[in-house]
Amino acid sequence: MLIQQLVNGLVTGSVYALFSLGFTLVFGVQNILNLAHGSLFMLGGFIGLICITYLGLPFPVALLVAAIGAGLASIVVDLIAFRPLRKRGAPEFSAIITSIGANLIMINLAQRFTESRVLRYPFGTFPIYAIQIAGIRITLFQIFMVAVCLVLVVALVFYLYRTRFGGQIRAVAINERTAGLLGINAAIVYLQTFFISGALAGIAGVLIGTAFNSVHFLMGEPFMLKAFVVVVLGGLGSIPGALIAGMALGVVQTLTIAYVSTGLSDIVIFTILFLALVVRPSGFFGPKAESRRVVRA
Amino acid sequence: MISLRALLVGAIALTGTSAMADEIRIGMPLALTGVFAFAGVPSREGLELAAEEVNASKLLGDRKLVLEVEDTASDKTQAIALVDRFGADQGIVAIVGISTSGEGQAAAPVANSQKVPLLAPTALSDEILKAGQWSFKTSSAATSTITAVANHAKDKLKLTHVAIVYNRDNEASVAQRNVFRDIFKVGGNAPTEESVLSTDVDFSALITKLGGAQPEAIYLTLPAEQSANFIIQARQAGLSEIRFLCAQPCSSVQFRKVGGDAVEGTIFGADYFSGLDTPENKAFVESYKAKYGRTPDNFSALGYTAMKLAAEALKNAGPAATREQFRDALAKIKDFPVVLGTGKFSFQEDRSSIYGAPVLTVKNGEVALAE
Repeated sequence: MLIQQLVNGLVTGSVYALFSLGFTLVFGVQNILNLAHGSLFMLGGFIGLICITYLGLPFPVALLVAAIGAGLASIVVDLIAFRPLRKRGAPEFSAIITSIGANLIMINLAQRFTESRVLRYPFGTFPIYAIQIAGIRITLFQIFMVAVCLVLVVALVFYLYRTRFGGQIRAVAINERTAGLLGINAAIVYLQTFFISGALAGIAGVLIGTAFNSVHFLMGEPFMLKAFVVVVLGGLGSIPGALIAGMALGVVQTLTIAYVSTGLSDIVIFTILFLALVVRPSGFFGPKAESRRVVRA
Repeated sequence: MISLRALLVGAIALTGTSAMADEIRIGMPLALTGVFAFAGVPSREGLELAAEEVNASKLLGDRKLVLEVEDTASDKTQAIALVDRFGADQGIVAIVGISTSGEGQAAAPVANSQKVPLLAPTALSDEILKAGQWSFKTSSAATSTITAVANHAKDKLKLTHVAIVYNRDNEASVAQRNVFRDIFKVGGNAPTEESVLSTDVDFSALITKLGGAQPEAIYLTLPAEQSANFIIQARQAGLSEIRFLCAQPCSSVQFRKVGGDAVEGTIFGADYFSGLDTPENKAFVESYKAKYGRTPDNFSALGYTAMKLAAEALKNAGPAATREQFRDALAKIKDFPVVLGTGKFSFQEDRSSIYGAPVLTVKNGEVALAE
């Protein structure tokens, strides 16, 4: 059973990692704690649901539409909530506040549209097929989730470190003013970052909605809490860090439920977060200690 | 010539908020949205159907029932606000509403301090009765449906190894766990207990853990959608042999809709069985189907019964019944024919209700008596 629980943990962990990727990306590039990330995740889940139930689109297409839809919504959030603050040179803290506002608005809209019901993806959205290897049982969908997560992480790292756009994003992350002097348009970079972040959240929303038979307006909130733990442990802004920390978190949570007690899993997770903040606040993949100053153009 | 002032005074007198002489206003705060809408929405249908029948049959003479429906959104604060508002409005004779135990525990004391009768159609908690003389509930003690299921599991199915999964953040769920555990362990087999949060959706770790322990059955005290979700995940994880015993929420249509094939064979206690062979029930099922297009579920029946009880109390209390007279008449109801349980409803000395509790199961997507 230990192996089975480890497998469960890795699957859960890859979901946490996928959710946290977009979150850590926005923080890494813009030093904004985007608390509306959970709503983008939820929005992705709903867009996917609408695609499959009302438009009759196949699952992969719905996944793509949800990614694009959530990405666009993320851009809208940036334009309305964050850009005006950047233009004014407002302190970072105000960005957190607006993101809370954007989050509340999206949650309330979703609540109204769905009348607070818990919806689900129709049966047969993804073929249910389980594989038994060496006493472990894993479903096709679980493999799919882990695969999507790994592919997206690799794609994101490739994009950031091997393409010109990625170079621009990293340049703006280091110092926006200098990047501007080098001819990089920070506004385009920010739009890209938010789009990618939203798209990742949207994909996570569809996957989780399908995996756990549940799409509702508050589905993002529990994940946001876990995402905090993941990005702190992994290092704010570190993509590989988010993946490793996400997997680790999934495994720790699963093993605590399996071998200690269901009620203690949250306590264990947040105790780890507390210890991490005390001992190594910049996470495992960040430098020993870090203080950041944001220089805006 | 009538003076302008007299006309004005007369006009103002006619526009008061008190009811017209032949209208009986009933406040109806229900959970029409939110986590407990699976109970609130069908109960509303039952309540409205009953009110229509009462009005059509002129049970109350020329007086008509007028229902003022409001949504509590499964939220305690909203429930308190609505009960308070209805209570303060002296034109409202009684409140037939409040869907959940959580709302009931919060709102019943308010009803008592406002001295307005409150009859909760679907809420289970006994705290509602303890809040005072003015609050009633239609459903019998939460313990009776759970007792029926626990006894069925022990005596009929001869189960010895059972696990309980409950919501640790919901005191009604915890209380149900206690009742089931206390009855079941009388045979000497204490069930194992696991908890989840009402917001949890990922049960993979817990299901694997339970799969390792191999209980014969798992008793779930979770809301309808979450129970269905748990069962689906358990079946997908390969636990096809384990039987599922559920609490009353699983008697709702929503449970079967969300659960699909996975919940076939689930056993649950209920207040109502649509196959009950009495003239009242046959008529009820027919009119419900004609109006809403499907068979009534547990919560529709509770709503229907609540309104019928209220109408009976209004009839017995006489014309121009005050709130006190309504309350007293309600408390005196005994052996009243209803569609719930085994067909006869009585309020006891402590205002608790009894009507018998069938044990049901999901068979071919429909509800049937459990064997």
